[in-house]
Amino acid sequence: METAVRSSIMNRRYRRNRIMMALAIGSSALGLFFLAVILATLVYRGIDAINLDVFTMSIPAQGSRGGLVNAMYGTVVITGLAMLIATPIGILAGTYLVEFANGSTLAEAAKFINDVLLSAPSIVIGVFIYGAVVVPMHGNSAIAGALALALIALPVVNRTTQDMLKLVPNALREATAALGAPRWMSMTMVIYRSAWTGILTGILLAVARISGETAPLLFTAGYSKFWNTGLTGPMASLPVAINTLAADPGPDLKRLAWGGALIITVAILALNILARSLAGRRSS
Amino acid sequence: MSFMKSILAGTAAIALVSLSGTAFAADVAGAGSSFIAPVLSKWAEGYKAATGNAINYQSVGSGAGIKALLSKTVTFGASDKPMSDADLEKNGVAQFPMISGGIVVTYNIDGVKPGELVFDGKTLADIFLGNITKWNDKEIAALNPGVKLPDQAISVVYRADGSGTTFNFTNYLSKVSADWKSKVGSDTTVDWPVGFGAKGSEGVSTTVNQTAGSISYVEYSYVVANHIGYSKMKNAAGKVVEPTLASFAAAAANADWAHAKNFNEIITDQPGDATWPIAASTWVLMYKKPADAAANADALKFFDWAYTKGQKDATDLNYVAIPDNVAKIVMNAWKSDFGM
Amino acid sequence: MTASTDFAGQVVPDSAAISRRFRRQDRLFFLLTLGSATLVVALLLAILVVLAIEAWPTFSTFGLSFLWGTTWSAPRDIYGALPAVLGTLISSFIAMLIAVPLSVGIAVFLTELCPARLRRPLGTAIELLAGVPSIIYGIVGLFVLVPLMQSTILPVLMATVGQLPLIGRLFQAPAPGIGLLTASFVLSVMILPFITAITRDVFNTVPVMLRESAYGMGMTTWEVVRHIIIPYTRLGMVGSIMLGLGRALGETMAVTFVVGSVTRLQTSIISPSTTISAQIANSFGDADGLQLSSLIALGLILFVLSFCVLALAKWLIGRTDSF
Repeated sequence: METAVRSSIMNRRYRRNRIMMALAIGSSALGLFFLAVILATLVYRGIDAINLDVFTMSIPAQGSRGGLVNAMYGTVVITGLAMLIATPIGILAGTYLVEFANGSTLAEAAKFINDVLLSAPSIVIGVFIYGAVVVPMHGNSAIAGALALALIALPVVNRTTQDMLKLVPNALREATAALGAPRWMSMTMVIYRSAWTGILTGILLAVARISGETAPLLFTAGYSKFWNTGLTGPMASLPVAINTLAADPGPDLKRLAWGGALIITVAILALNILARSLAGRRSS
Repeated sequence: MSFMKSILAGTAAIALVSLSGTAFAADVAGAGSSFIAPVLSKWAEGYKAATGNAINYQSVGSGAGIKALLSKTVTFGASDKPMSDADLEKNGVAQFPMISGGIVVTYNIDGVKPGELVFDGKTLADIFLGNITKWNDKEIAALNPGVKLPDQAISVVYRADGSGTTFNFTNYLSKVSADWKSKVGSDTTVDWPVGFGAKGSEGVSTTVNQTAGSISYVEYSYVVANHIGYSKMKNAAGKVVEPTLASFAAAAANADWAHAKNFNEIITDQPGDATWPIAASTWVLMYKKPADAAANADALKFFDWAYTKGQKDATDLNYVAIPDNVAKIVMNAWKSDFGM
Repeated sequence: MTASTDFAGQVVPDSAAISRRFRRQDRLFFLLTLGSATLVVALLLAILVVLAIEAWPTFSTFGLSFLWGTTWSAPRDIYGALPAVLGTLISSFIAMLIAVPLSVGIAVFLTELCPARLRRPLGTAIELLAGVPSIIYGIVGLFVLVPLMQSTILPVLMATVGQLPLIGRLFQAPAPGIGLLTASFVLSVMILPFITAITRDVFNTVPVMLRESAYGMGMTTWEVVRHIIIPYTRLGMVGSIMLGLGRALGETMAVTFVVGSVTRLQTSIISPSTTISAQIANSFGDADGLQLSSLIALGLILFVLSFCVLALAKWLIGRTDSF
């Protein structure tokens, strides 16, 4: 009798486990399916546009020969600059909030404000930078674009740094303190190192997010079909170029837009894999 | 920690790069109308090949182009909606027409071929007002004897984003329908009584293609590129015309540019038997006394080049170039407006 | 005594000097972190102040009735926020409803079930979804999802869920495929990788000892997840959900392509509709005067909305926990 009850409970538990695990597998399959659909669409529509010209020539007009090299350059420069601004500030801010002021009302308020900033619509950020940087500077510039993107990346890096630092066991902090190490040394040599994979995930998510942003760049970095390297002048980026070319009636430019979409997506995939393998080697 | 070190090294590297990077003083920046963007981009390419000077144009929409000009972030703005005399005066800005073209009514109706349907202004207004909801409505049938119209609901599709195309289309509807004028009006975005929006002309073309029973309006070049259904129109003279470069040109030619103050001449619903009724122009706007006079002069050189050498590019891309006699009037006006 | 030698005869600076230097360095490090944290706060305040100033004409013209106004007409210069606000809230809510369970499912798979060799490639693949630019989601949504919604998903929904009492009405309307539900689907895929990545990372922080003890007691995988992992990582999960919700609320480009941009109030979630960010993106370029001010007022409302959502989440977690 008792065994029967127990085995029926066991059966129910196992059955529930099987259902839930099947759902977990199904979720993963669905996630991969979404990715496959997007990549397949991009390859199907974009692969014809991929040739040597795309990587060597600037954006063409309808019916002309050309590529996307100026937009690729722009995306790398603007995103890179934005991350160079956002990463140190984000990590340091997250450090303050967790290591120095954790629990204080002020820090809680600051964390809260950071989370609000996370959901700031990117176009509003663009509008803000437009008023604060573009208008006083009398023109679109790569710097303005980088500042707008930095403002979007900053709360992401800050938030992940907080989350990851909170997961570092306190014993580690106490151990380094007991060794007589100053706080900054303990942070840079021990704490950051143990939270490194998580922080890197945050940085990558931020890069992934901002490198594909269109809305905040439209009014800040602007657009140019030519090869511009000056940081104080308008600079094309891949998303803005895709946005512009996809709206052109010319079928050749539309194809180029799909090609650009394929390139930026594949590039971010490569970046992800590279950074993951680096992080993996370090953490193990 | 190498992580922090690499960040510092990277910052230093970027600082060096940014110091060595140079801004091109000779470059001219412009922004605005997406309608003119394809041909302006073509001109910029030819002009750069001919003179080495780059024109950076950003297709952000007419209103945004005007805003960019007024905040002095660009040398010229381009708009499909002319600026009023008062605003030009107030801001010290001059404007001149750069290109014309046609806006075409596009549809996707079961069993109806492209180019088969005819609309007039009133019917079009009634469809976009929601007074006509089925394709086999007798008002449409009366205009299209012999066309087999299905008993299908009409889906109105419009431009979701602010657009000079919407301005010119609603300007036409306001001219031909008092109802439209009082209830909806004319602007780059309006409060549409029925239907739903799609983003950009490309989005509109795609959505019309995908949605059975839909009707919308796009620039002519999108109809050519996407092979979608287009209608003929009954014009102000009561004649049925096909959307062609010739009928757009007729609209531009019949407009009275010489006497229009500040070239403020909207070329919808123009007279003439061959005239396409929903034609549109794009104006270039510049400061009369700019902060950077050299940039203004460079921009005018470019537009001079476009008027005289750019007609073929315009025709190739399904636009109507500004007629030579009008271009002469414009370049004359430059003398008093910009001291050129 | 200023210096001493260690056993190997090396000169060692005295400990007081070292600790003075360390204190100075620590002070500098502290100020750097404090400055950065202050900067984040200052930036948001700056944005809010600028928005509030720019939005002022709208509130002085319409008063608070701007919040429940349902008309948005540039030619008549009348603006109301309700359709856009509702569209944002509803689409984000549906997107979370779909994305959170999926993300947790994927995180469970990646941490508990997946063969170790496949973990990294699969995790990276899911993360790649975050690297797809939002404009691509918009275009793919328009070309792939919209026709599918139009031909299959919406008719099925209308015939099934649409027949239910009460909520059925939400699924009954002429449905061109473009609409709020389509936007919600696109949003859910977009926020999926954000929630998954962090959920997986926090799942991985559960001590092996805890996990293995639970398994050792004969718990099934689901029970370990349900009773050990999720409670242990609750705070991190809330963080990841907030990150996803933040993205959903403010997402612009993708939504703009598939939402339909109808500024009237709709009774059905499958109808074309609008959201705050789509409204701003569509009209910002051409707007001036009162319309510009009203668009910025919408942006301000979005900030207030995310503020309220976050406050609610904080309250739900309880006063003792901090996240």
